[in-house]
Amino acid sequence: MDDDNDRALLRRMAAGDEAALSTLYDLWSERVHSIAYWILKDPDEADDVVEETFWQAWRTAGRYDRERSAASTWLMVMARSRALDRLRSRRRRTDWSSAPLTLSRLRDEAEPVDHSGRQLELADEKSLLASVLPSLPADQRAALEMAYFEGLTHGEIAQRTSQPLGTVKTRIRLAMQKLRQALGQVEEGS
Amino acid sequence: MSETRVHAELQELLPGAALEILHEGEWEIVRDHVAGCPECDKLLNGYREAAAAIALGAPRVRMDPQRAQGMRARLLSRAQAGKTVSLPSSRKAFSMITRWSGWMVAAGLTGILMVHHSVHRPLAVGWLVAGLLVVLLLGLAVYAGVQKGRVTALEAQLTKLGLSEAQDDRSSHRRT
Repeated sequence: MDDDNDRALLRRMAAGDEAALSTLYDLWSERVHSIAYWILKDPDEADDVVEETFWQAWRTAGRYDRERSAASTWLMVMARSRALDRLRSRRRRTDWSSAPLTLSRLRDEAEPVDHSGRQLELADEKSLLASVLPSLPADQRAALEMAYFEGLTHGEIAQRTSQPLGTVKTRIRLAMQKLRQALGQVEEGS
Repeated sequence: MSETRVHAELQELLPGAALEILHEGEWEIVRDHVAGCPECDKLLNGYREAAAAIALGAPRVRMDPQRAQGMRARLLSRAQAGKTVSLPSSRKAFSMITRWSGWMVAAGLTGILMVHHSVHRPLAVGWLVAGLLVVLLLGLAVYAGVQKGRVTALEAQLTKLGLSEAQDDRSSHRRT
């Protein structure tokens, strides 16, 4: 299985095997770059996140706990954290703003078009993005988008949407519950 | 507030924890609770898997092949450099001292014995000088070991600085 392979690579990295780092990089750098790009919307910064993420993976591979999460989850969580750190830091430095990323825009841009010299590929049709996210109610999806791609806190989302804090928390919780359940079904089905 | 209620309220924070959008205080409460609650720990991991699935499902953006290769080369070079300098110099010096500790103790005792022997009547200047010389040599050996450790530490820092400078050069070059 792929995850077994990734876990074996992390074990080898923990033992100081650089070839394993190279293989993991070949397998996952594009995915890491993609999520960083969608959060930061800057190819250069996305590249930096890739390097930081794999460097962190190399240094902390020994702490990876296979019982707690898949290797891909571990890596993606790390990549998103690095990207959000940069985004929040950028936000603190300047009154940075850009068109908020929506999941529908993400799907639209998933067409294989040339985008600033970068080629986009359609995501796996079976991915959660393609199957479950569009089925979420609009308000839940919007709250999730702001949390996931912009790293906004519950309070910040409440402020932006002029909704009560409790409502925002509920929307995000319901959206995440649906995703988790869908993921469970996908895993059971596979 | 009952434990069940706290548990239920904390479960509501778990999606936010998985998305890393909680405030510091909220996160600390969740972290402490999850550490002692296997049910919430499992639930949090489930939410994390769901969050990662969004990332995995995002459309791929291809990297520039040359940049990707360059980044891989830098990572491997850092990993190799990290391995060669990863053992802190103080630990190296310490391990050297540990390895030679038996001889050092022996030399120290010999020196002390010589000095002790020399001060017995009549004063044996030869033994006294020999003893002092042994103690002096022992001190010099320890001092040399510590200095060697410092030099290694400085070399490691220079290596790291060299890598950082290379990265800074790359960043500034890219932005121009």
